[in-house]
Amino acid sequence: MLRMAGIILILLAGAGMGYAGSRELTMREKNLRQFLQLIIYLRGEIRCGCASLPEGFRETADRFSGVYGEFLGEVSQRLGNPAGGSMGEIYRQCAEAKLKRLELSREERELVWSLGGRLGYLDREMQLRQLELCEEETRRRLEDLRKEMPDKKKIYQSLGVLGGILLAVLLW
Amino acid sequence: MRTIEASQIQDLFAGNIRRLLIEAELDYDKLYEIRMRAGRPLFLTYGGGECFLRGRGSAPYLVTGEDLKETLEYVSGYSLYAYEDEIRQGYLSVQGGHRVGVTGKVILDGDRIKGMKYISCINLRIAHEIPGCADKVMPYVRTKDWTAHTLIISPPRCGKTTMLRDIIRQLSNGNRNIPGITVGVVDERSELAGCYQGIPQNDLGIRTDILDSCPKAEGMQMLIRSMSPAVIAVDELGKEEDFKAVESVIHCGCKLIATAHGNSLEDVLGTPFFSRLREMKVFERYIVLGGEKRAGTVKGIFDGKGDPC
Repeated sequence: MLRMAGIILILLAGAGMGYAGSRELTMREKNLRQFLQLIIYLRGEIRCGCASLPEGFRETADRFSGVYGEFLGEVSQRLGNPAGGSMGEIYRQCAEAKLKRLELSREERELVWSLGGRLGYLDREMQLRQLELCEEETRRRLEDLRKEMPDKKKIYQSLGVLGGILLAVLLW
Repeated sequence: MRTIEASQIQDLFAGNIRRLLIEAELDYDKLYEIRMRAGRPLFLTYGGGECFLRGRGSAPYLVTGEDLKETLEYVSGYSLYAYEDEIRQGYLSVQGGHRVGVTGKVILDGDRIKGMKYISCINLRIAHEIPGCADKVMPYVRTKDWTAHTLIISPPRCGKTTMLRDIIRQLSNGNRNIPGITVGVVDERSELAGCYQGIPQNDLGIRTDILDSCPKAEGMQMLIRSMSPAVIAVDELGKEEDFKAVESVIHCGCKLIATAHGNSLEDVLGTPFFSRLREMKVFERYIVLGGEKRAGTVKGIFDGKGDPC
């Protein structure tokens, strides 16, 4: 009886791990999609309203709930009351404080965290170009992720279940 | 009188200068200007005189290029690009209605000023709002059923903008005996209302509509078309293109309150722009200010013919 319960737990754990891996991919896709939205909103604020960066981040923060909303609010607040440091440094510090738990790959994280360093330099055209560049890169990563996501999700789930079965057989 | 928030001023400056300002324990109501020039001492126009801040020891603190760069970043919220139009005119407005003037190397695009680089001087002019400073002149400007076309004349830094601001506020609010009237303000340089992100930082009264950062000539026409004001107020009148707008203001039944640079009535009326307006008998009151004793001293009030009232 005890052995049976152990085997069931191993099978459930294996399947759970597979689903967790698959969920991580879904969350990465969601986070990247939100970041893309953030860039589009910010670009709109700068292009149409000629907003300054604190203003742009604040207006964009109002359109987001959760982690991104908090993060954007923090950036806006710190840029509005500067206590030292460059734009890139302030943005990165806020990202480290607020976005650390976000499901993103290393490259995606660097893409999100480096946005601040690209802004605040020269004229409006330069800000818009930089945001455009970042938007293109995010779209490309998102497309790649979406392409590989169905297969990867299946692999994670199958591997989890099969791994659990294999371990159960070995331990039987 | 509005109290100036010390942190609002200090936070605009680079770390080194911010520290000096905090240590100096200034009375910000007595502070009029802070002037930074690369490689030169940090000047303050304070309590009617001039002084400079000292670093450790007794030597005056010399402003560095890094201080200027950092200050500019803070002043613009790391977004100098958002102030391109203002920088082209040589200044930008910050929270509190204060004005930051900049000079440096001008970048030209043909004949047009495109921007500025190598900023070498930053001058913060602190906006002072003095409610009641126009009490003395108000009886000459407004009675129960009449408002005069008025021109306020003074040299720079003698209080004409502060006086105009208080006249607008009093016209707009009215009082127990005189009803308030709708005032349209064209605030070309964001000095009158001191709008910051669209919100007026100075009190211009409850019946005042403000067109912020709008060229005077276009702004006056826009206000007439859209807001039907009883009075239109503008700061520093005198450009050729303002003439047509002034004509439309007086012909549509609006009253005009404006300011002009000058040392005396004769000085101003001697210029081609104002001599034409005089021929047309536009202004019914001239208020001449001086700064001999203190800014805002009324030297004389004259009627439309130039005779003392």
